[in-house]
Amino acid sequence: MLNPVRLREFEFILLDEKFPVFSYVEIKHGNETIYVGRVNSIYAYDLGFFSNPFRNKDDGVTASVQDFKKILSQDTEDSWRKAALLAYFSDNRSPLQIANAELVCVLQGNFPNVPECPFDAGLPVYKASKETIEKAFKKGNMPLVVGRLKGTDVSATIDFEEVLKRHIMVTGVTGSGKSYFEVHIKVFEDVLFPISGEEVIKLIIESGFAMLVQGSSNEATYIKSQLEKHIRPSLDTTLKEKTLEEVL
Amino acid sequence: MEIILRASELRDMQITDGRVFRKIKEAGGSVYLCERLHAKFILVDECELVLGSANFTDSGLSDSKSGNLEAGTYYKGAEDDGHVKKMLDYFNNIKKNYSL
Repeated sequence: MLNPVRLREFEFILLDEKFPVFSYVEIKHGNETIYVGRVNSIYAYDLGFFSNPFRNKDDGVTASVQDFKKILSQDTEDSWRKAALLAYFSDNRSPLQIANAELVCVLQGNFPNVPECPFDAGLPVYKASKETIEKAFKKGNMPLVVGRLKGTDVSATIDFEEVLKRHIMVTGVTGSGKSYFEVHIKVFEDVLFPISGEEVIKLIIESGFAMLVQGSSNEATYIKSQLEKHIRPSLDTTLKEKTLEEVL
Repeated sequence: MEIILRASELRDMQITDGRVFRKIKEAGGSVYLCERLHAKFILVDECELVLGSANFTDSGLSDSKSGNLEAGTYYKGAEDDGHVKKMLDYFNNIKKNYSL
């Protein structure tokens, strides 16, 4: 890890080719904390290029001014200069690859949080494990699988509670799966429908358990009042307060 | 005259400096560069051969009082004995397939 560029962004040197764009990486910080990032772009710097010879000091990334001087100042023989340049490039032409990554979240225990401060430079960066990615993208109590996270085997989920409460905008290029996504959501909306307390009471009677909700016993009165109190004909509030199972 | 020089890093070209190139040019010779060359041999007229550990530099060719301690062989064969021809084929192979 080179440096946290901004709170939500960092750069690291690629030592092998396991980190293509869109792959996920993890950085362990102490025993409890894991920073999870996604590679946005990869830059390659050719170390064979010379630093600006007209500046006084080296920039630390490109080759030294001394080598530049050796090749271009010490000897005036043209063929030697060409040979020296070829020899120089044989030795130095190795691109340094630096990946720029977006910080997705910081995992503390099993839960994803928003990062609050940049982390230390110099920490090793590894390919994120499936477990880490799953934890990082855990969405609410009702995760709805809508596909697969690009470049991984991990399911992409959205929080169904959020789907019901908020507006959603689906964007993407042609063929990226907008229609498929929309069908997915609609199917779930059709399966779940608002139900009232009265309808649940009717269902209980039809199922042959009328004694639970009919008559004047204290128990029946109590159950009936609880069902009417907690179950309202709105999917939003039903899910928000208690699940039907909990109420029953 | 054809010469193959090692050119795997800048230091190689500091050992073989601009004066060498100038001399070769004056003699009408050609220079080839090879990244992995480590062999040291000279062929003359397809019948004489010097083959050994020495680089063709001051320290490689000086006597044992001041230069490197080296070992080498001089071989002179008849024009058709085939041994020098084998080294010539090797030289041409490096020139054709392994030079920059």
